[in-house]
Amino acid sequence: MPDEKDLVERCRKGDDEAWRQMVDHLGQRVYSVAYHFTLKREDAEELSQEIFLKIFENLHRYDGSYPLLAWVVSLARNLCIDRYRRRKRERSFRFVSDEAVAPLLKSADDPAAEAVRRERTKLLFWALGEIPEDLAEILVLRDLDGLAYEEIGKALDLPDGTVKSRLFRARAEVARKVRERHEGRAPGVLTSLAIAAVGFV
Amino acid sequence: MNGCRELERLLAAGRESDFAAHRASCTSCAEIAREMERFAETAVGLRWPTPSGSLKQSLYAIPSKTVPCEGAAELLARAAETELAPSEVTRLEGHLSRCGGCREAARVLDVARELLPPEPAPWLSPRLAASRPRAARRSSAWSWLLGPRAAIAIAYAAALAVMVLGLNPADLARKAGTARLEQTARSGIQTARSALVDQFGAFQERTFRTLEALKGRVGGYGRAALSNALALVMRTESAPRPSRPRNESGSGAWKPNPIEIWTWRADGSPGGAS
Repeated sequence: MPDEKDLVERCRKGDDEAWRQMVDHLGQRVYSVAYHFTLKREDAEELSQEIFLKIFENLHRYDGSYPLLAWVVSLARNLCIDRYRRRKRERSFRFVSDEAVAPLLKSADDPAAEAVRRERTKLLFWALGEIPEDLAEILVLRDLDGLAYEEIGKALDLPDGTVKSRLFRARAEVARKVRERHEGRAPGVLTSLAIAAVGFV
Repeated sequence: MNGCRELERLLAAGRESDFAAHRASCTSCAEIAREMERFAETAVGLRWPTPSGSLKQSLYAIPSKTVPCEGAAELLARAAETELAPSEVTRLEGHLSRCGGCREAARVLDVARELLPPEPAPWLSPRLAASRPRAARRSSAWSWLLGPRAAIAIAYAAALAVMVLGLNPADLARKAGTARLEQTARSGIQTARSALVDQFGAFQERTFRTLEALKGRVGGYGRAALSNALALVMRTESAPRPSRPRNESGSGAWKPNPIEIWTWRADGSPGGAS
């Protein structure tokens, strides 16, 4: 990977090859952020295009003082939040389908284990929709998108300590939501996990 | 579920050793911690979704669809002078459809080109028409002599003449400056003098008015005193004034009832209430 500032400069000067390198370097991460946010392939593709258009049009704003990925994620996050505000109601009652989580699951030899993982993944996304947004986004960026603490801090303009404490709170909140759901509805999610496991035995 | 939030507090504070101890004693937190571990495994086990090939092609093509804001400004500037290439038009339009700031800039530039010339006031053209014959009467030589070019030429010619005559223009200017200073001082003194005269006149006026007022008052008092003296001399003896009514014991003033109206007879005895 070439120097990021140099790559951005070349893109600004209209170097098409530099732009292709930029897309190859960041395309996967940006699509990942968009997908984790929308859980829909078409929406994620549309959002990814929006994010890259925004990156291209704002290249002059990148000063190279922090990682390019953090800058890109901060742009992506703003666009995701705009979209989230438009679709807030839709998202808060989101039903997470099998198709939505399928692209995230590694294929496993054991179908029972795969079914359990699928149910648990659906549960994870449901819980992320239930907890406060500022906690959810940190958990997604760290555990799902694999960003470092420093990159998250730069992207969200937060100190590392805050990132860590919010991450712990987010994890605990997710766990608490799942437990509440389980205890509130007897034949609930954990039961469906058990059924999924038994069904493949 | 007992709603214990100690787990969150300890994790947020980074006290993982305390958390382990708490977890051993609190079933609620132990359960949540187990869920967290399961979800951490789940999250780690997930893979990143892969963008499709068509999406990648579309992303590669972005530079042909739009321009950065700085590029848009250049294209807008060029578009005002020359016709842009079709690809440039596509990129500029793509950018303007998405960027509010540049769209507004483009509108402002359009407005600048489309502005109408200002309408003259209704009185302007008659005035211009009235001034035309006078200008026409003026011969071309006179109009040149009264113009600014002639003034400059005459000034240069005068300076040249002075130099040819052996005079130093700087000395002349200094002398002129001294003369101007003297003239200024003289006019200042004149102004001060006239201001002093004005002040004195105003003072005189005020004094005169005050004296007139005093004279009027004194005259008024004198006339009043004379009139009183004449009244005293001319006064005749009349019936004794009735004494003021007293109270029953005969001492002290009698307080009249404000509602009743008392009258006195000519012999001084109270006449009673009316």
